[in-house]
Amino acid sequence: MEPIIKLEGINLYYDQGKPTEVWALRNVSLEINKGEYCAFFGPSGCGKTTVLYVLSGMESERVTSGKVLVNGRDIAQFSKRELAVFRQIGVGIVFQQFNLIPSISVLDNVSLPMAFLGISLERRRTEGMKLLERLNIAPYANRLPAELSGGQQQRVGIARALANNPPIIICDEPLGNLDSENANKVLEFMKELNVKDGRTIIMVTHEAWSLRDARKIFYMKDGVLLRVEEPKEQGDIAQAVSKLMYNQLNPNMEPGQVMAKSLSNLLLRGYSSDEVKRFEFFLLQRLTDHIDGDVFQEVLDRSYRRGGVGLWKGKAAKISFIIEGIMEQRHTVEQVYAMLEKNPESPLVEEAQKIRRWLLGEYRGKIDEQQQLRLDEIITERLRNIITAHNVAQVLNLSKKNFGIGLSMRASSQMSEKLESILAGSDAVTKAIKL
Amino acid sequence: MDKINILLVDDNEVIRIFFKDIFWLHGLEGQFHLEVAPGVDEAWAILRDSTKNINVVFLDLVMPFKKDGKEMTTSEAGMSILRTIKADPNLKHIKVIVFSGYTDKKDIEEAKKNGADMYLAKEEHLPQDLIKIFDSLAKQDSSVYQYSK
Repeated sequence: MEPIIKLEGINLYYDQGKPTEVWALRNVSLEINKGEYCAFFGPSGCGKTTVLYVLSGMESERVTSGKVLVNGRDIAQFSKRELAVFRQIGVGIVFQQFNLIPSISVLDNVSLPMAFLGISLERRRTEGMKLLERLNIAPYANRLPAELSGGQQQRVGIARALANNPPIIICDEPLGNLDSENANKVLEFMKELNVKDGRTIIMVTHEAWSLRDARKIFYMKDGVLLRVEEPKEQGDIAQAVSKLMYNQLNPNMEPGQVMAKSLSNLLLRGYSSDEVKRFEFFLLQRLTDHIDGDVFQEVLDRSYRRGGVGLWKGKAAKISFIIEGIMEQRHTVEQVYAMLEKNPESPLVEEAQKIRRWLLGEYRGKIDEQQQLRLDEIITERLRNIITAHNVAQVLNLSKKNFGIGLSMRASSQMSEKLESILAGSDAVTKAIKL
Repeated sequence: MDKINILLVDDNEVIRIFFKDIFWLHGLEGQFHLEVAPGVDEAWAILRDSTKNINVVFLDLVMPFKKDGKEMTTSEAGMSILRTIKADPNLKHIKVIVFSGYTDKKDIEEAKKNGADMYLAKEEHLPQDLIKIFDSLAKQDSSVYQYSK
């Protein structure tokens, strides 16, 4: 039977002809069968997200040669209208940043794709509620997206992707902003969409642990499809990816470098690629014993601006502890991988939200959604050591009009102190918030 | 098994693309052959062509047509096709499913009176609903037709 998706010799350029020209996809050919659960894996900039956008008909203008066959038809040749309809009913996309519309309710977000098909309001609402129920978030139907946690928002994103019943679901790094529990829930759900609904699932990820349900893995680097693997069982994936595939992707790397690269992605979820690169560098220094444990922990804690990684004390201590465990041979790297695969590190965004909820726990005043978002920002900046404790108190005290939170002088300094107690790495507090 | 031959008559290009895409995306092209007509005259060219052997028509109602030399755009366009099919001994075996953007009781009653086998409101039919209907057609399940036996 014909594959549901077939790329034949795809070449794609960004800014073609300009000095900033990038040859983003180089002669990529591949096949995906109907009902397959496959993944594109590789480092930032390897072209995996570009492939995704080509498959969803969003980059047809930039494809300079080759065919994008979906069930035998070349969508790279589609008219604007044909592409518009294909994007509505052919593919459902789930994004890392959720991409919900902040000013409309959760239910309206989910029903939006149906509105584009001209479906009546009543019908949209009925179908929308069915989808919310399936994703276990029906009680939040009339809330605004900002009132939901990251995990819940991602579920809204998934419900929306299912609205027009597309046979193909595309996920662009869907787990990057989710904590361990929610990330696992999303993976479970993707599997359900594949096994129960029979949909073709295509996931893009740079986190090896999220490949566990994929049965076909496309390895990409610098716009080239390096290799296709078809692991038969879950165990195969952990083995295949952890060491071997990193070697394949980086054949000239020393074992220490490979370890540093794969560990850094597992430990620093939700951080920018610059921060991850810097962490990788220092991690390598530690793994090859060029710096000792104390220096390593200090540098993790030091602000990014001053040359460090900019982690908050609690996180720096936790990571330092894990790495010292490897150095003192208390556990092997494989054990660390296994542990992190089962329990991925909490991404920065979730940590900030958890801290915010705890900080507001005893606060008697009213805080609206905008203030909550602002507070998340402030906490994140303090976690990264970009602003000082004093700055935090200042912004908490600043009026809402001036983009502060508008707390009293007393409440501001109390809340700032509370935040500092977490950053100092007090075990009791960290346990209480489950960080 | 023989393919089921479907004719879609609709003057809206997006509806024609949407309909065709559902067959394409959900792998139904093996069971069905789809013909598409953007207007009344093209519809008749296909209906009268015995080699096409149309089994089911999905029929839009409001389309441009000529009456007594004048151009009009009313539901009479679709209704007259419906009536003519049901009155013609060579064509009356064809199942006609009205697929319209209008949901007035008046239109539904008139369609039923003129012999429509089914009435579908566009605004109530998501891709998944149409797929269910196509499945019934493929299984030759005539209970899918609301109005005829």
